[in-house]
Amino acid sequence: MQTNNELFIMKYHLSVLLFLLVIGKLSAQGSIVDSIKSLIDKSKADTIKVRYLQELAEIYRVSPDMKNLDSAVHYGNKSLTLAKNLKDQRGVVGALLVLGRSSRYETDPIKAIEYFQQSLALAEKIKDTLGVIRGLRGNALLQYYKGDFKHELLYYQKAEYLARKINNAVELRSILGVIGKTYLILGQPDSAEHYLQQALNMKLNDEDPFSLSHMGRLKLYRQEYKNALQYFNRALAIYQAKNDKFRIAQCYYDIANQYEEQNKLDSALKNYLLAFEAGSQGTDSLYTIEGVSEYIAMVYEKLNNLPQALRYFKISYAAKARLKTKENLSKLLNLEFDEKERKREAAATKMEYRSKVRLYITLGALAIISITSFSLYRNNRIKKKTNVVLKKQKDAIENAFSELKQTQAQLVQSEKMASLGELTAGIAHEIQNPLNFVNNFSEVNQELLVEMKNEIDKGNIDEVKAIVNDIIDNEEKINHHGKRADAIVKGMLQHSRNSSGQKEPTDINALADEYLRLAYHGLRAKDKSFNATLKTYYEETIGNIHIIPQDIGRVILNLITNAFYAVNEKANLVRDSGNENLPAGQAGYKPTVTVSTKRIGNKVEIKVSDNGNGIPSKVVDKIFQPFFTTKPTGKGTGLGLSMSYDIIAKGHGGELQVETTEGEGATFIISLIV
Amino acid sequence: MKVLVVDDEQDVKLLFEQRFRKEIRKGELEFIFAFSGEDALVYLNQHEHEAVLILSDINMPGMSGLELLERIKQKYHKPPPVVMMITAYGDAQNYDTAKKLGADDFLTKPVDFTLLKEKLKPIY
Repeated sequence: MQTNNELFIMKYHLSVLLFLLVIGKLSAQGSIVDSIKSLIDKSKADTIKVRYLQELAEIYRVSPDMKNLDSAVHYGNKSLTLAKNLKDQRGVVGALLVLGRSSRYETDPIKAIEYFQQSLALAEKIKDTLGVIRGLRGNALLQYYKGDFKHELLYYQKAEYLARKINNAVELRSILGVIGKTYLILGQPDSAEHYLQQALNMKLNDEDPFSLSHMGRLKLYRQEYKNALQYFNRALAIYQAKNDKFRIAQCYYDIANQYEEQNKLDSALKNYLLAFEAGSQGTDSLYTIEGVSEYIAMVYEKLNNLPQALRYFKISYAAKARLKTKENLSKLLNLEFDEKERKREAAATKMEYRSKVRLYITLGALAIISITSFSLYRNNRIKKKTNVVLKKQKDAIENAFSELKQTQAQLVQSEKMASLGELTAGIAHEIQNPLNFVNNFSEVNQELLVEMKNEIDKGNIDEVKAIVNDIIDNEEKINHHGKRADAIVKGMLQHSRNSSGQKEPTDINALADEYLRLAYHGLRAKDKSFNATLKTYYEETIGNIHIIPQDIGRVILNLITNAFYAVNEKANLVRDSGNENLPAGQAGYKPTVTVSTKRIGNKVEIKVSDNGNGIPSKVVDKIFQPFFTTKPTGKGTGLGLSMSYDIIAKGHGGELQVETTEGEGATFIISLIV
Repeated sequence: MKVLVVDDEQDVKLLFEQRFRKEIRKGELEFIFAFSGEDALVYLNQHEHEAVLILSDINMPGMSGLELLERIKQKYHKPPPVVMMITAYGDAQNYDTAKKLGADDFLTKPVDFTLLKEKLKPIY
């Protein structure tokens, strides 16, 4: 009973101490250390003493005020020896974990990993789940320091599973928080939020400043500045209550960072300076000073306070130089670590051995620069900044691209409208003619019918028959010209409309002829003096070919319009050079445009030739390029031929070629496979 | 009286033949058709002074009606025949040019055949 009572009292003491530790009321840590020490002195060499020793080591390890890793290791070792003597397996696990955590990961990861591996193996053996969880976390922490966040995550996820299994809320919340942090480092904000929110949702006695801080960073990542600031402030309040200078510095740094992102430089500077002040007093001050002073310098530079900028750059540089010495040391240690690691792993199963050697070889390279969480986060921030710049550039490029596409679409439309404008007059003429015929023939038929009535009255059957034949002929003509007008209107609509992209059987001869007439009359309507001889050679046996009629029509129209332009230019040239009083034809030059169709094997060729001045050899390579034009400004968009080329080559898998002799003319050949 | 009709629209032939079928039947008018300015000149060269009246469209591929008019009036035929111009646009510019080149009269498309008949009556 007596021992049981003692045990109870001691357990009570222990849980009070643990509680105090957990809620972070560490302002009176000195006295806590004293009281534990007195408890240790009073207690017998039993398993309770093992725990007290571990508690003491933990306080020396984590307490911001009392942090002393040497003391932590000292008490950890004491606990380990005692536990081994007592064959207290759980005590051994706990002691190994304390020793592992108390190792300097940055400078001496070998010891740490040995402790963690041992504790993990033992905890698994004795089914000490909490021990396993802590062993996993220890291993995770090492991966973190090595920069292998994916492996870190794997360890944490195993730990999370176990923590849920044994319903350990404190452990679970802490694990959820670090998983969130790791996802944030990996640039997976949604996953990070999922875990951090879980951690923050857990109803425990206090709030988890770690998760609050990282939730703040997440909000900052998403540029939700107000939310970010709120989370940072909440975390800051908790760390201030604990008087944890290192973490306070981090909070100020986060807050400053948040202001700097919004370009509120004065507030940023104020908080960086607070971070510097707190960081200088806290643990790991070199890292804090190195990082923060560089940011202070940069903000001063932005504020044009160059003397201060220089001062803080110097501070940062000095801190860096001192860190470098440390890092060089750790580099050596890491090489040794790799070697030992390989030897140790050789005993393990082959599969694990292989994957781990591979892992550690990779890690070895990464581990050369072992950095604190602070500088890791800083790297992440730089990465994020780079990402922001890249994203801005990407956005700018995307904007420019969509603007270009819009402009291109507008230009294509204006090219269509320009050619439609050329067509309008031609269309008016072309519609007027068939309409005249329709009107005239129907009038004639009316007269003929009156006449027929008279002839019937006279009983002159032969005459009636003759008149009926005339009426039938005329009706045919009316029908023919009605359809002609109809086709022209439809063609015009098709031209102005966006291409349906549908290939359909098309009479290429009719199509070519239609556009030839439209182009000709269109030009004539605009330029009364223009004239040209049109020659057409249509191979009647071609039959229907499978094309997008409005697109091919557009190409033919374009080529014919160009041909007319070319012959007109030459005609003007001939007229201007000394034959001013003579019409173009009389100077010996006959402007001629020839359109021909021909079937060659499985191809149909449509040729548009002119006897203009031809295309100079130095520009002949450029004529299919967009925006290339020899026409005066405002006369051509420079898109006609490039659009034509696209329609033939891309839209129909055909070819568009040009043959030209300077001074003698040009021939454009469309080849379509049928 | 022989009338030379110059138009690139082939159906003009049928139309004129129908419209003037009574006059043709009575032998008052005879129509000859040319479907281009060039064809018209060829005909005129071969049949000098046969055509008393020439009715020509202006807007034709190749040799235009105006060019044909110019040649008829200035180069080949003395005394030149009566030339009536038919224009689809009826605009001032074509009218003035044709007038300057010596056109005797004008018709606008669509041709008003009643009006044309009245114009022809005093000639034949």
